[in-house]
Amino acid sequence: MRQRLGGGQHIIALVALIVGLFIVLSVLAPNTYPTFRNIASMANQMAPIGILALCVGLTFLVGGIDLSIVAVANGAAIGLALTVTALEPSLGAGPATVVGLLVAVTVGAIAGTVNGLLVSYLKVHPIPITLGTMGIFTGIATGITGGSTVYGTGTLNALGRGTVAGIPISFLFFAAIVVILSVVTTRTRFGFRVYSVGASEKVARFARMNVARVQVGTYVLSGILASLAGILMFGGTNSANVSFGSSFLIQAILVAVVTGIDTFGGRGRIALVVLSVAAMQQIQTGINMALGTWGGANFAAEFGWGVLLIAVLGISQRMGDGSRAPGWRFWLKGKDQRPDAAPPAATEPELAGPAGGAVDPDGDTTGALRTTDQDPRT
Amino acid sequence: MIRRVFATREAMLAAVIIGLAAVFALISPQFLSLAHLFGIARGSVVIGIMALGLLVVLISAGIDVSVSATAVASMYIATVALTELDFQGSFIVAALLASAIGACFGAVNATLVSWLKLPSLIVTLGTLTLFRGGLLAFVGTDRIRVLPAQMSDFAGTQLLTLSSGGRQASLHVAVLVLVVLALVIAWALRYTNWGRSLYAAGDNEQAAIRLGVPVRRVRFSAYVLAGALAGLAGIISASLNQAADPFTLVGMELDVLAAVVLGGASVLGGRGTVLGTMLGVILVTMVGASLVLVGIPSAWQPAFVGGFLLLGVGIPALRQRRVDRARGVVA
Repeated sequence: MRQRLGGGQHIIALVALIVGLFIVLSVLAPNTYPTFRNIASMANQMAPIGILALCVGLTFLVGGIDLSIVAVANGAAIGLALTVTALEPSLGAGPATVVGLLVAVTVGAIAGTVNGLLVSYLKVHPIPITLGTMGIFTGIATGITGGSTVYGTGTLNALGRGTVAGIPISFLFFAAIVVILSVVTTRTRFGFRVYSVGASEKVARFARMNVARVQVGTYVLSGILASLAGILMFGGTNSANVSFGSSFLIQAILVAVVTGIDTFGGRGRIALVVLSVAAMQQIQTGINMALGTWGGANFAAEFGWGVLLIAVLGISQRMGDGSRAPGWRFWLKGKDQRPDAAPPAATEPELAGPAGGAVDPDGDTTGALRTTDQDPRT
Repeated sequence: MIRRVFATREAMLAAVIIGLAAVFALISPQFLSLAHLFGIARGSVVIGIMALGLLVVLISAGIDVSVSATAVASMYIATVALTELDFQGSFIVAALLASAIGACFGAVNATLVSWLKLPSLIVTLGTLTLFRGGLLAFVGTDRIRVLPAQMSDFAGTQLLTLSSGGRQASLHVAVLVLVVLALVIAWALRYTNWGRSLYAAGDNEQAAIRLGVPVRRVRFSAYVLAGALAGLAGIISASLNQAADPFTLVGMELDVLAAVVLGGASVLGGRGTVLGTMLGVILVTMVGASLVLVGIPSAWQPAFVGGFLLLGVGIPALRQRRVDRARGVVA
């Protein structure tokens, strides 16, 4: 299990990144950056992205990907807003909000079930599946709202603005989810199966695991988490629209990759999402402070996310699992020269599949891509 | 024999297209008007050209979701450059310029995927936001309404004009561009060394390498070609709309991917034909253009596109399941 969670070096690197960014930004803006208000505001903003990153991370772990999360989040928020507005006159604010929250989570659970069943039953790679369901969810939400923004009645504003002992409620919510998921992935039977299926679907099947059930479970979890992110997004603005959070998908994937979760499945530590999302949020705030009034700041940030995603992916891919940093020779000659690249995971005690060394996206993929290799050739 | 013809993806798609067209025509007689049919043809040009590029990438066992951003970025940069230079020359020069810029964007994807061997979906998702964000942040956000003369002339160039029932219906010359490109790529895929290498590299990389196929180079070329075609699609789109808008074509990659996958290309590589892709493009465009005619608000369109994408991957997968079960393959 240790090996699947990645080495401690990665944690040190992330903490160093956070501290380094904090020091640099504090020196650059000593009056505004290291204030309690700013830190609370950053903690508030990182919650929805962090939860979406958990969705991506979880589906990465099981060897898939969920591209529909932002559509699900928006759909859940729209369901919540419409329910609360419709029921409040008859039920009153409290019960209407509770029903609305249930509706939102149900939307997420249904969406996740659809994704999971399609992925596990069709055995097609989840990229086209979740892109397709993303289109369907977006289309339904657009069709229902006509593309316009829907507003709530303000009963959930506390989620967006409230604090407990100075800490934003949304952040506490996010932290609680991380703790729960961390326990679920590392300490439960289900979590063990998620890692096993992600490392090699085939081996998991030989070990008599119900691969389909694990996959469906993971996607349902991802859908529910996405709806929770949607609830937080709604709480922050008291409004919902199908086009909200258009850059969230890329940021969520970025955070998951920075967290060190293998995009081919089976390795990574969910809890580290807290660290990587904190680093991302500092960069975002830094960009906002630096570019301030410039109209193109948001677009520049998007540009930055793209660059960062590719850079981080490239570096993590080259370094393999990061447990042993490569020397300069490796950077010049390519990954084949890596001293420990030859026998992949020969010493792995558990069924971790062939993901020992650096993962090669074309040839030496883990079982996840392999076993879904159901080409429609007859 | 007949059974075998209908077992192919192309025949199935053609049957679906004809069946749907019949339904549309029954609900709304306007569907069969020449103007509407020519409108569908015109509407399928931009998505069709991008789909040809994506098809080539898919065959090579990759994916490129950045095509829409590439199209917008190269279109806008080319238009800005030509406007600055007060360009008066031929449309072909503008098209070549946009294609060249698109090819550069494609080369970025190609380098990341085929040389650094990063997973293509995540890389192109990254370049999707990178290209679009970079364009909007560093090049401009203004909608250019006055295009260079030749570009706006292109919008009015019709291939043929027919009058039916007192109304004029014109087939745009851009349709010819798509047809010619489709024929060229179909020929290249089938009869050139490059095309065969592409299928080989996408189907079984190890075998291709042992056969001496330059897998990396072939893959590289696929992304560059997709970029170039996206650039061309972008400039044609701007010319047809009579404006260069850096905010257009958002989310177009979903339509393109749906069309190509519907057309029988596999996301795992090694499969796909130009004919199938073109039929997929026609289906997606036809449904998109006709929803309003049959009384469904166009807001629902993404749901239909998503549904098509799922059908495109689902039907062959179900067929494969049946075959596997018949053969007794476990799991």
